[in-house]
Amino acid sequence: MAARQLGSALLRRIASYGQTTSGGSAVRTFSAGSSKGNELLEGMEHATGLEKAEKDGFSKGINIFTEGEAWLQAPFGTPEKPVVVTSAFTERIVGVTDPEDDSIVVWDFIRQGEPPKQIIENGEYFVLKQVDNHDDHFKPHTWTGLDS
Amino acid sequence: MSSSTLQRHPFHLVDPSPWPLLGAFAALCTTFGAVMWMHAYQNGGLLFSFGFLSLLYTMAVWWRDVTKEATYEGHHTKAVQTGLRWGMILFIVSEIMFFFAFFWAFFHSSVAPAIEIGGIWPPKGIEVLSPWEVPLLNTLILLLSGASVTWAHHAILCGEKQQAIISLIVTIVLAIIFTGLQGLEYVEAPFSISDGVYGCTFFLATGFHGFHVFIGTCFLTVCLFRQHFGHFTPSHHFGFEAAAWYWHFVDVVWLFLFVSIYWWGGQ
Repeated sequence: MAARQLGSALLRRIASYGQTTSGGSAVRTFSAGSSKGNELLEGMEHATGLEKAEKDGFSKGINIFTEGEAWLQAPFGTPEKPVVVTSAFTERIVGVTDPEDDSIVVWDFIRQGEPPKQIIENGEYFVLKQVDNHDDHFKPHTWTGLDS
Repeated sequence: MSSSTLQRHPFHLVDPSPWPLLGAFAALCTTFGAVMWMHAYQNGGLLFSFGFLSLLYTMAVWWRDVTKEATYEGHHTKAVQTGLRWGMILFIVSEIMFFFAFFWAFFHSSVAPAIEIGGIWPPKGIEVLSPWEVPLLNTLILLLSGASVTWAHHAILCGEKQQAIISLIVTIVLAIIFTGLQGLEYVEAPFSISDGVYGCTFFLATGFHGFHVFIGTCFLTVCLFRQHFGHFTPSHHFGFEAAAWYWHFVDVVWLFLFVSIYWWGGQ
């Protein structure tokens, strides 16, 4: 008798399972910020470290690993007004996209004291500006959403 | 965490660990010990036991570390999970090749049977197991366990912790029943692994499958405990997914074994 009760209880749970799934799917997708997404929020609270930072960024529509990179926002570098690349050191590696194949990045060194440097033909010009403060060095990459 | 000290890439550069070294040493002891044991050298069994226990220990602590890195240290970003996915896919592909070799041996021996075994398959004098008794039951059990592990996956996706635990228990119980029935079948089999090429290929293929069922059962049991301790979330539960993939792989291998060796090869 007990086994039958247990069986019927299990069957009821299985029967209600589909309803739970379809009814709850809207709040269980990966879209943080929904006040109804308890399961998801639980998942968010569960996450820690870099995974949490990534998820927090994702919930704000931001990829924390690419967000705020200076070269994306810099105006086109000309010989007269080159892109100023900051570095804590006397040189820094810069990459530009190959105009004929955007899956290729052409890398080169930009060194302090050198005239504006063009990495590819018809491409932008770059100069290096050494900065003392490491925080300044990181500034173009700063994404403030993670400060705590 | 300050933004200026935040890691600027999504990859996990692992800390130095003693486990690869210990694992390699344990594997060396296991293989040397096994060879010595099989050739009746003194203390061969002891060296094998030591190596094998060390290997088990290494597996336990290494995967414990991976669990810590994922659950408590937050190193498993989306990119890291993608790497783990590829790792598991490649591992399963290598397992497919492993079983492919046994099927090759079976078909090599059975499609054009040698004159030494009477030019027929099953070989002359071999009394085979009926596929429509325990093997068919085991097929149904494994298929059912494949369904229950999918139930567990949906439960995790929906954050239904209790259902995930129930369905994982169902899967593990079915796996244990399968292994038990397979063990009984082995005990009662009218042929042995030394009964020529039939016994050889049969026990090698089904035996390694059984071993994989055991590994999959351990994997799912670890997932059951991790589910109990709340490690899995709807958006991050790759440890479970890897176990489910592995379990489906074991399931599919059984279907090929059933159709090829038990059914076609038993007529």
